[in-house]
Amino acid sequence: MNCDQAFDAMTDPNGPDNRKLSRHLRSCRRCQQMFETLEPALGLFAAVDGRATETSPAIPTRFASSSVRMAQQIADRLLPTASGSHRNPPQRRLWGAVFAAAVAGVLLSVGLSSMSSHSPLAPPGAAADCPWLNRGTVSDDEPARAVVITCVSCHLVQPRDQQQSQTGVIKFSQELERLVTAWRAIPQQSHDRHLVMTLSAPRAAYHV
Amino acid sequence: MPLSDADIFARVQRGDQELFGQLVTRYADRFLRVAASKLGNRTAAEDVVQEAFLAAFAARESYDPRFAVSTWLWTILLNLCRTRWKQQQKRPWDHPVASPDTLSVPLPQPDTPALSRLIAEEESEQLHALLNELPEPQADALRLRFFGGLKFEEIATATECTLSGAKRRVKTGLQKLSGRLHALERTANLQASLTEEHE
Repeated sequence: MNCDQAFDAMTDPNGPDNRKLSRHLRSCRRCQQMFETLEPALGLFAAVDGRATETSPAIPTRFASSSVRMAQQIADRLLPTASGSHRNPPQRRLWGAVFAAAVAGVLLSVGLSSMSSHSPLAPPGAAADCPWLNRGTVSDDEPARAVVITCVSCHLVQPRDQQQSQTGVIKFSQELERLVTAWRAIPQQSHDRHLVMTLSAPRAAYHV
Repeated sequence: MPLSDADIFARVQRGDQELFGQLVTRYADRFLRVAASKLGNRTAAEDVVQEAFLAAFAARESYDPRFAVSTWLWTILLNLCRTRWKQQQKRPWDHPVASPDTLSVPLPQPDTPALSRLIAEEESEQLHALLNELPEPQADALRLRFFGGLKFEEIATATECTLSGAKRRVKTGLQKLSGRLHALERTANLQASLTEEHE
């Protein structure tokens, strides 16, 4: 064992090969001093890391299958439309999904809050069945997804092109519906909360 | 004989998607420990780990077998941790401050004797706090080495530095941690002797 290997052994997270390391330390004063210097920190890591292994959390098996299912749904949605670029693909596709979900989350929160407040959030071209314009007729049991899709239709699709065909709006809504459904498969509520907070300025979502 | 990461990923790419669960099981524990140590919050760490797996799965077609699956996964995790960490720094009110039950590593089970539990909590909190005092590259290298179990070559690739640079970061980080532990011990001894004199 040389000095380089001795350092590897000292910091081996699986525990050093004590026999070889001890033999080296006996013959190398420099490494012996190094080991003594690092020993307090190594001891603390060993104590904490050892306990972490003993109490391995059940989380992996809890979210393993759900993460695969959810990732598959979103990947199916995103991959066919992804460009051929190989630069930074994980982040691009992830953030594509995250952004789309965030838009849905923000619009949901804005849409619902606007029903109770009286801020003029409906765009000029809002549809006649806009839940904000007709909020008196929207029951509390209205599916949030339906509200989201209606808001997105007005805020995202119509301002871009007032002549947008009804087919286009429906297609967009269906795609969004699939995305929202996929995203809701995530077991942890914190995701939605986190995503809504990702966009600090809700109005930015209107101008995608 | 268990499949290698590369074999699993190749089969996942060919459509055997259930196998991805094996990768999740293989890495989730270490991912969680590193993320929780870095973010100081177990809930946030779970979110980030899940996002990392989601990203890897969603981008599985773009994985290039010329680099190791582990390196790719660790790099994704580190990037997501950094992003989340920055968000926490910018808007701390959105992210709860770490408390003993949300700190860096799982604590012993409730049937552990109370004193052991207390010591475990203190050591865990102490390590978390000391790591946060270090420069980020050194702290990350230590987390990857001791919580992630990475080889120095893997740390170098995941953190975009040289092999010698990765070793230097671990070494310097350990030296600083040990120095701080010595200083804390001296302070504690001094306080104890003052208390004795006072009594």
